Amino acid sequence: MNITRRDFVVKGGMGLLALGLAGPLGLLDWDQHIASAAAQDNILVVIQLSGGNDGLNTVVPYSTGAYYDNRPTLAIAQKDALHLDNNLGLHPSLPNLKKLYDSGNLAIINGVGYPNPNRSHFRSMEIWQTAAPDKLDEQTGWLGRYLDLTTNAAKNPVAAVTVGPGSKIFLAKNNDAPGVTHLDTFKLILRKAKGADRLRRQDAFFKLYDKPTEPTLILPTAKGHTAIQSSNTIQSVVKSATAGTSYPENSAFGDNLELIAQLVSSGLGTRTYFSMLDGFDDHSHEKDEHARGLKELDSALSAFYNDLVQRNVANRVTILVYSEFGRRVKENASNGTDHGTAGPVFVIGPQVQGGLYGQLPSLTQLDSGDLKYQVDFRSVYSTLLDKWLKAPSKDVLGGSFENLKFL
Amino acid sequence: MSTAKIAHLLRRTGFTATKAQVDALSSLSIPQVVDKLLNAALTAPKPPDGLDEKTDIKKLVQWWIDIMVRTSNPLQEKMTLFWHGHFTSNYRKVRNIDLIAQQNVLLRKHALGNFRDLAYNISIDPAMLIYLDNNTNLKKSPNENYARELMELFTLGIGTYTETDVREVARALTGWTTSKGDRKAIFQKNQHDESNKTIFKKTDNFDLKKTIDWIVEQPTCATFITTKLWQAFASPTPDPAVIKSLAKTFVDSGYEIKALLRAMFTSDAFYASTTYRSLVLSPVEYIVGMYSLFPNAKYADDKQALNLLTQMGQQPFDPPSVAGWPGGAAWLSASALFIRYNFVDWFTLQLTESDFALNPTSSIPALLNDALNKYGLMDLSPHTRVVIESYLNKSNLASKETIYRGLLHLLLVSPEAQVH
Repeated sequence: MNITRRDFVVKGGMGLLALGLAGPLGLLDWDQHIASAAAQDNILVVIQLSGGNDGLNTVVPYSTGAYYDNRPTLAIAQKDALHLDNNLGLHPSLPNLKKLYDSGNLAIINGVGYPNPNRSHFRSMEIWQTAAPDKLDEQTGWLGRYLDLTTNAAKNPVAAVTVGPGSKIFLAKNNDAPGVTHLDTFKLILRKAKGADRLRRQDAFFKLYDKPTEPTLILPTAKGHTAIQSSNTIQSVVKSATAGTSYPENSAFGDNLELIAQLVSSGLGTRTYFSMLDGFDDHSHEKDEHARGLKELDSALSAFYNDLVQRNVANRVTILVYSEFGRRVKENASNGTDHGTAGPVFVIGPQVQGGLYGQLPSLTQLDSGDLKYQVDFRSVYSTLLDKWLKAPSKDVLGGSFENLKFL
Repeated sequence: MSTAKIAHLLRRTGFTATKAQVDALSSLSIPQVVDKLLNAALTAPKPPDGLDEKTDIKKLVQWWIDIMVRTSNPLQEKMTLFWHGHFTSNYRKVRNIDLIAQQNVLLRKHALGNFRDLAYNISIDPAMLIYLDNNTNLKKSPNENYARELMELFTLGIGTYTETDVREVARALTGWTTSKGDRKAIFQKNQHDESNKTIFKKTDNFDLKKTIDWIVEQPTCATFITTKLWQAFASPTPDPAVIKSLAKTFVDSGYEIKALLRAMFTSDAFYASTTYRSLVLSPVEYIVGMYSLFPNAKYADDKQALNLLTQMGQQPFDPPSVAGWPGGAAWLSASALFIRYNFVDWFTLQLTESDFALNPTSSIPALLNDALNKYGLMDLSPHTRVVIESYLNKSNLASKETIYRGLLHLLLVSPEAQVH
């Protein structure tokens, strides 16, 4: 059985790699391409808070009686909330986000969700990542479709990069976004091989992955090819990690954001990044656990923002922060909350028009104990696509959604 | 042809398929081999006890890896690993390594047993009671965490139940908790909601036992479990007709896991060309396979190896979510692949010339074939063979340790060695 290049692309779940397979793995072309793509292009960094972040305890409706009625042990006291206006305040663990809000660089969109909310973590994450709430088994992510409209893996193997654990957000037909976690191990390491043997082994390793072979090996070959191409590209341009700002200690999420800042300032032609912070599934002991999670978010995001400013690239970066759902209005007996629906979304950056958008859903007119969404999440995506990434949102989202004014 | 089938079966039911292993079974028919594998004596290794909750998770991981490498019943370990990704718990939330070890013992005990028994027993496993919060599921205000994941991830699959079913099942499971101090599973009658519940349109005074029986009895349960096992052991893209037939066998057997596996491993579809090499080796399978080939090599208690395993994406007892590990192509992310390739470099450096156990020869094809037979990679693609022969041709066969190391490294980082 012959393998067509199309097979390699489709079955490998990735881009028109064949175009990049003919030549050696030399990088001169990449340098040129990256030089032209870099510098002027806007960059979107997407952050997912996994587990279902409690929106009501993140953006606190401190003047609403029903909030305190439903949250006897978990409610944030009016005096502790970091007041945004006369009704809403941020959780006390978010002082740096409050500063960004005060300086006009944080847009908070309240009540974001979608019709017929799904309370499964995995389905709801999939819905946010694919932006296809009505379609089961969607095989592309919303930013994957954006990638396919604008580039392909042969042109740029690092058009999108995941730092840390992966997701469906970049799944695409003609692209395969690499996942990167630590740069020092993101390359072939031969600790003791020497001289000619070392070169022979390196050469053989690259050749193992330089072309599609037989049908049963398309997937591992294509994935190895992605790894090699993206490693070569990144290692050839990356600059050292000399940041002046301090990221939180013992935070993999902070480390991941630091790596993104490093990659952005290296002038890599990457337009979209994805990373996640886990640990928001607070069915029990929510008070401490939620405060810990938000503190990590707040300190890492603030270090990241300052790092981007110091590296002189902040103007090109917008950050989106969402969670797959909020939580039940009424707390449970375990001092926690069960899975809910709509929640707030944050959009952060020097180019963002800070302020409050959307609307906090009613805490008394509920749907099975859960909030009714006020803003379709695809309106947020549509705004980012049209106004920031300058891509036709309708083609990515398969429909038109009202753009918001935060950009 | 039948040796190729036996090799395929051994790779799927165990961690290695060397030529010697295949040859030892080649006089048997496939059903005979399957029975031999399924009826191997069960093992019940005892985990180290008194583990420190803060520092000793790596000791438990190392213990299990060693068990997998040295077990006389690889299928039981593979099934234990499968159930660990299915009925999963995470030591970070449970915060008690002994309970995590106990859960591992429970999964191994029931690995090839009855699914209904397993579903019941895992529901009152202390680590699980803590992990999914049923230990604080109380009559006055139920906690839905376990009820939802029990149906969504453990038995039925998403879209097969309503939000009302979730709330009703949560009520039915109220009262099961862990005792203070010794953390045993206990039932607190005064915290249990005795009133009627309506689950899947049946109204009854449901308790845990009745609830598990009723959920397992739903036709979607057999389909869901059969599909998941097929995707783990046969192919990521099951044929619905095959699943239907296997699920019927499963139901007819009274949910005996062994009966289902026997039907799977003896089915024609299990040996179809589309299932061949269609599964990606998980990091644990990858390194256990590697270690098993060199049982005398000194790798034990190496923290670096366990750190690399974590970076490959699969530290046992630390799944990324209640859904276990994503698997498939997700194992082959760019960063995870480089950790694999670099793990092999680390591993080959642990071996001495005699560990490789290769026959001295001056013939390159003979050397390569000897390695392929001993390392269980008999079906090398022509392209990989050319690349590796070319490496050997350019090398000096006299420096044995160097060339053995290079040869093993290239074989284990090849595309062939990432799948099975």
